[in-house]
Parts: sequence; C-alpha cells; structure tokens
Amino acid sequence: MTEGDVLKNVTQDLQAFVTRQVLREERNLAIDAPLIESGLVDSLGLLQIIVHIEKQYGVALTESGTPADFRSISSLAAAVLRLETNGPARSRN
Amino acid sequence: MPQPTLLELVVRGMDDADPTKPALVSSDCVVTYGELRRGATGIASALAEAGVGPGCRVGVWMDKAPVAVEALLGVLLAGAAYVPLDPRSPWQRTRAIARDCALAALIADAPHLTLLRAVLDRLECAAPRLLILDGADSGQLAEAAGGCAWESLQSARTRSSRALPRPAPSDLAYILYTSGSTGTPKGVVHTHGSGGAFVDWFRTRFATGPRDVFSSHAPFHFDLSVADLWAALASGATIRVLSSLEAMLAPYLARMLAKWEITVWYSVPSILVSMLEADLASHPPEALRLLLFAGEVFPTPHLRRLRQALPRVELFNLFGPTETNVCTYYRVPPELPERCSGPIPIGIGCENLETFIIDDEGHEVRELGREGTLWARGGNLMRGYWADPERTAHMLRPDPRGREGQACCTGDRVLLLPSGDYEFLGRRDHMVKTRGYRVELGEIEAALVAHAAVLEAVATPLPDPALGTRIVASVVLRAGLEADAAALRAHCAERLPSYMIPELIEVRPEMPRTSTGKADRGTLRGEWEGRTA
Repeated sequence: MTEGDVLKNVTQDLQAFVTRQVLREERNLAIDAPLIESGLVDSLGLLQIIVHIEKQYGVALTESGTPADFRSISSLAAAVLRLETNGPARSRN
Repeated sequence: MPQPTLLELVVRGMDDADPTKPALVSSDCVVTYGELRRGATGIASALAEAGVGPGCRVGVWMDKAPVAVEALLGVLLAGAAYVPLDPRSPWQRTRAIARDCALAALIADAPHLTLLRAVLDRLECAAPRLLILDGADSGQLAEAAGGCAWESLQSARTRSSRALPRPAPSDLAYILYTSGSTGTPKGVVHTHGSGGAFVDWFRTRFATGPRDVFSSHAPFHFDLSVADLWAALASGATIRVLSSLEAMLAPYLARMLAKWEITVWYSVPSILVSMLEADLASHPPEALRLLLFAGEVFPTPHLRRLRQALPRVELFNLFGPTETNVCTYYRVPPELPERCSGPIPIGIGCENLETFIIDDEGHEVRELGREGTLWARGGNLMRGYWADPERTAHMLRPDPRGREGQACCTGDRVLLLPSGDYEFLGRRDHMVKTRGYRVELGEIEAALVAHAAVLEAVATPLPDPALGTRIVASVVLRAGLEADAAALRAHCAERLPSYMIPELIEVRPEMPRTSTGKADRGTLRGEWEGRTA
C-alpha cells in the first residue's frame, strides 16, 4: 500500500468511528468539518476518539499530538500517519 | 474617589501598557496592545455610526480566539453591552437569546455564517441593525442585509476613540446567559459599575500587574471570563487565549502551563483534576504564582494532591453565583492535613461587599455553627435578570436586616466557622428530601470522592412516589484503578447514613460536561430517568 492508500484507509475508519460511535448518525460527517469548535463533539466524545486511536493505531495523541491535530477527521488521520511513522522507534537519528 | 467603571479600568490599563507588548496570545497569533486597541476601536466606531451605544446589546457569536476578544472590547468601547453567544450551542438556543435581549447588532465569525439565516429569520423581534462578519465572502455579505465586513473595519481605522460615548456606571456592560433550573436560559445583567467593582477588587486583592500572564480557559459566556479578560487588561497583563479545543485537552495543558509562563490561572476544578491525572506535577509551572478556581466544589482529596504538586503557588477558591460576580473567597492553606476530608470553606466576603447569613425565619445569624442562607450586598451585584422582574425580585430583595437598599439572596446554605470563614453546606436547590430526611447531594459526592479510585462523582435525585426522592450516583474512576458499584456502596456505608447511600452507582468513562466545563447534571438526570423508567 502506498502512503496515500494508508491515509485513505485511516480517514475512512475514523470517519466511520466518529459518525457512528461518537455522533450516532447515519450520514457520514464531512472529513473537514470542525469537530470541537462546532460543538459536534464534546469532551466525552473527544475521549472516545483518543481511546480509539490509541487502541487501533497505538498512537498516543494526547502525548505527542497538538491541538491542531484534533480539528477534523482529516487532521486526525494525518496525525495518526505522522506519529505512526515518526514514532519514537523510527524517529530522528 | 468614585468607583471607576469597567471601561475606565480597562482603558486605563491599556493606556499604561506599551503598545508593542503582547495583549493576547494564542497558538495561532499574537495581538499587541496597539493592535488590540486599533482593532477594537474599528469595531466600536462602526457600532457608534450605526447608532449602537449605551444600553444596546451586541451579540458576539465567535469561536474562542483573540479576534473575539477584540470584538468584546469593541462593544465596550462603543459604550454598549456585549452578549457572548456560546459558539458551541445549537443555533436554536442562540436564537432564543438573540430574541430575549433584542440584539441591536451581531458580530459573527466564519464558522457561524452558514447558520446566520437560521438565527435571524423568524426572530420575532427587530433584526439587528448591524452585522459585522469576520471571514465572509462577497456572497455572504450581500445576503446579510446590514452586513459589514470585519476586514473593512480593520483597514479604515480613522475615527478616534474620543468620539465614542462614555458609559455611566448604571449602563449595561455585559449579559451572561446561564441555564436556569427551569430550562430557559436567563440573562444575568451586569453594568459598568458592577463589572468595574468586581474587576477592581480582583486586581487589588491579587495584586495583578503588567508582568502577569493570565490564562483564559473559560468560554466567554461563563463568568470566569470577566476576570480573565478585563482584570488582565486593566492590569496591563498578557492573556493566553485558549481555544475551546485546547481547553479540553488536559494532558496538553499540563505540559504547556510551564511553557506559556502562565502566572495567573483561573478555571473550574474539574480540568485541574484532569491535569493532575495527566501528570502536571512532572511539568512544574515555575512562573505560576496564583491559581484560582470556582464554579464547582473542589473535592478535598484532589485539592490536597494539587497543593502538594504546586507547593509554592497561592491557591484560592472564589465563590459566588454569576449574579454577584464573586462574593466570597478562601485562601487554601499551605498544607491540607489528611484528617480533613470534608470540603474546604468558601472563606470570607470580598472586601468590597457586605455578606451575612439569614436563617429560615428571616433573622440574621451571628452565632457560630448555625445554618442559614448567604446574602450579599454591594458593588459586585447584578442589576437583575434581563426582562424578568419576577425572577429578579426573587434574587434581589430588600435588605432583610431592615436597612435601606437591596441585597442578593444567593440561595447558598452556609454556616460561620470559628476561623471566621463560611462553610458551604450546599445549594438550596441541591437539597433533596428522601424518606423524610433532608439530604445534601454534595455530601454524598464528597463521600464517593473520598474513595481512592474515584476521580469524580455526581449524585442525582430521581423523583419517586414512595420515597420522595431516590438517589443514584455516577462516578468516573482514576486511570488504572478499579472499583465496582458494590465496593463503592460499601465505602459509602462507612461514611453516610443508610438513607444517603446511592441506590444505584454507575461507573462511566467520563462525565458529560456543560458548555462551561461543569459536570452536566441535567444530562445525567435524563440518562438515569431513561434507564429507570
């Protein structure tokens, strides 16, 4: 899989998770929709997302992420990719 | 010397500040005092030209960011009153507020423009005369009748602020809508006099000055923001404006508190508890000198951990409903002995107020240890609830001691301790009767939080035809620790009489929160009612 494919997969997974598990909606949430500022996701939902990303991808967003990573589904997906590949094991030489 | 008004205090602070000094800092931008003044003056001039001045209400419907502070300040400079609209609330609630206080103008930013139509259509009152839109495209501007682009105000900063009206102490300064227990939001009206009295007290009591860096954690529709913004600017200090997202990320805040060199932090206790869990102790914020909390009871076991994590920081509990800004405060001692597990006192009355206790028969209580309701009178008090004389008369009443003038009945049950501090016994409306006993929900919550594994607890009363009320509780556990309902009930049984032990206890991953960051008791009650119906 290319990096683009991986990004697409992660984005789709997060979109499905946020839409169905957090928002409990049928119709997919746009991947660029702001999650927090819009009031769509509250602190409880944010925790669900953080836990899901930790479990699914082994990425601890609250430790290595920045607030900008939590903006939307696409920024979350990009952060997962960045932190997976730049994880402590493989990062800076 | 007469009490300066809110605007006078803020303008004086800005006059004294170096125009190149940062006034507002966020993760995205830095706004100097000079830029802040120019930006806010642009807004104020546009408002004044549209005839929006003293007495007028201006809605500010913007995400939490430095430009929103510019907007709020612009409204004050125009002599008008700002009404912060929760950017994260459903638009229907925004419309209900816009209708309730008949906004003369509305300032909105890009994320809210798509909902503008929904709010302004069917408003059932005169539409705002002026809309100031930040980040609108030409189509959106054309569509919004009376719309004017924020960006155009910024480029045409020609008028001097001397042309702007100076509000009188009795003129409105801000209206904060709080959720009423009945479900309809109520607008707490503060004036340039009451806001000024509070800000002046805050600045003096905590000796804030130009070297301070304030956090702005609370959303602007929450009364903690009055100190965060106006006491900071009146002091010539710098404000670190946290976005609503940043404000939720406890591990991030625990890390950044030191890096941002915050000196004055003010928030609800719950985020501080989460920051402790996120290992605040290992990122000691060297610059922090003053940590203030308000809005909820700080569970003593967690407060002790905070005290130990930050031994050199002065900790204060500020207390009082939005209607009084703040009416009492308590300095947390350098050590909280293990044997003290009950809640800390709420302290003494603010120096610019008179506070006293009235018993259920209407007599003033002067003896130690006898319970009554806390009253306050003096400069900090609201003018009333917007367009609601009945509710206002319930809260602001003739001084029950027979003296001339009005006082505010806070509805908080207190008693006087030998130390001279008030002890908080609970809200009059958190007292419930179960099996004939009068029960304070806070006492049940304090017992649950005394369990080593419990991070947070909320007791919920459910109406019950047979018992009067059944009590159930929701708890959140500390990471990595476990306890089940049976263990928690057994723990309560060692501390509470049997009629106070929650019948059901649920363990949940996190508490639902209100927009101001407090535990959302209404949502919890709804969930329980759905489950037990």
